[in-house]
Amino acid sequence: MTAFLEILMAALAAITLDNVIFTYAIGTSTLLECAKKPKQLFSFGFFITEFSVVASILVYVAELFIKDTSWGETVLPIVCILALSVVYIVTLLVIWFAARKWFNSLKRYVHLSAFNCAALGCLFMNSINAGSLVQRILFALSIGIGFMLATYLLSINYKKLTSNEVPAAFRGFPVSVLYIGIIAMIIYVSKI
Amino acid sequence: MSDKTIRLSSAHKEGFLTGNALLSSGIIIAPAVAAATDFMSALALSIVFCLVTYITVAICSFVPSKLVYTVRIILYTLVASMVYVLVRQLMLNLMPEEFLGLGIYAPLLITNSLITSKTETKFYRRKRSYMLVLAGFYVLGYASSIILFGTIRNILVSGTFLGYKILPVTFPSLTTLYGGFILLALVSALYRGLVSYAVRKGTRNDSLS
Repeated sequence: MTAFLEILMAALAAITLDNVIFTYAIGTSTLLECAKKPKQLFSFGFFITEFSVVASILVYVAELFIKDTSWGETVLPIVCILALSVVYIVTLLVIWFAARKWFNSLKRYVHLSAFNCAALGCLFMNSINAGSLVQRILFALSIGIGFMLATYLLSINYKKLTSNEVPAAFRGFPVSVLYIGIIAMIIYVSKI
Repeated sequence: MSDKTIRLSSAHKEGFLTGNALLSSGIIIAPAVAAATDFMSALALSIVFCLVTYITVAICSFVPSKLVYTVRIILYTLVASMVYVLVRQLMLNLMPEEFLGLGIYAPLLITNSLITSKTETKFYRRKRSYMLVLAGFYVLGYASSIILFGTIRNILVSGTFLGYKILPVTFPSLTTLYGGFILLALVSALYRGLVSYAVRKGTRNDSLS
């Protein structure tokens, strides 16, 4: 039970105190887009998690072959894009064959989740940290779930942030970024 | 004014002012907030961004539109990653310290929204000659706004710019991530206010004349 609680606390810390949006700003633009429609939160969150986790495994395998070469670090961005591309195509094919009637509604989320800073940033950070496969998968999971939490935190106040009560110059993007900045500040102070 | 001049002026206004990627549209935020902490890092970031984005957009304009969307997007990002590998080598020779200081935010520019989104929704819907001009203004608009942002941050954090003392007080916390978010919000609001005022004034002058 204690071990379970420790894992739970570590997972909570990973998606709150070490949330990539609030500690690295990775995926902020995607977050601002997702927060406009809270209904898409789980779809986006699911696909970003899937892309991060599966592509992390692929990059881990690829790194076994390239890490000792002199050009390994140089070609890493190409390897990451190839890994995301493979997951992208496989995901679309799986949806097409397994759930064709939802294909048209789901493909939009897949398109937007494939090549964004959250998924790509996860792959780069995993490579820099050079952790084990399990550590990489856990980190990728924390990115996806953390992204969902960040989107939820922004979406609950999105209507207020875009309402006419906010001065025109601040309405929408500037005040949303200010809001994210204040949450990031709270997390920064909590970690001290 | 000739048609060409009007179109150039329109592209210039859109890329720099009304559609400014960072300060108006709020896209490609992470590198600005996290990596553009001073003038030199902002300059390095803007050089990488300009080269990777513009070369990719220009090369990928030859990708046939008949290909399915999925394949097109994969090709765009794959070309961007290859261009980045070359730009990385160039930057390691040109300004190695500043480039390495950008960390993962430099390769993250491979999937920036001008490549993955604006290409399909805006650039490739125009004729290639005009598209190259419009993309150029969008790229330069982002680069100039990130340099402006980095310069303001530099001055506020250290009170100096290029060795000259400018401010009697400093705000060191603006180097942090949350400081970057808050400063970006303030600079963006000021920018949008000024652009909106300029557009209103322009419209008023037009109607009077």
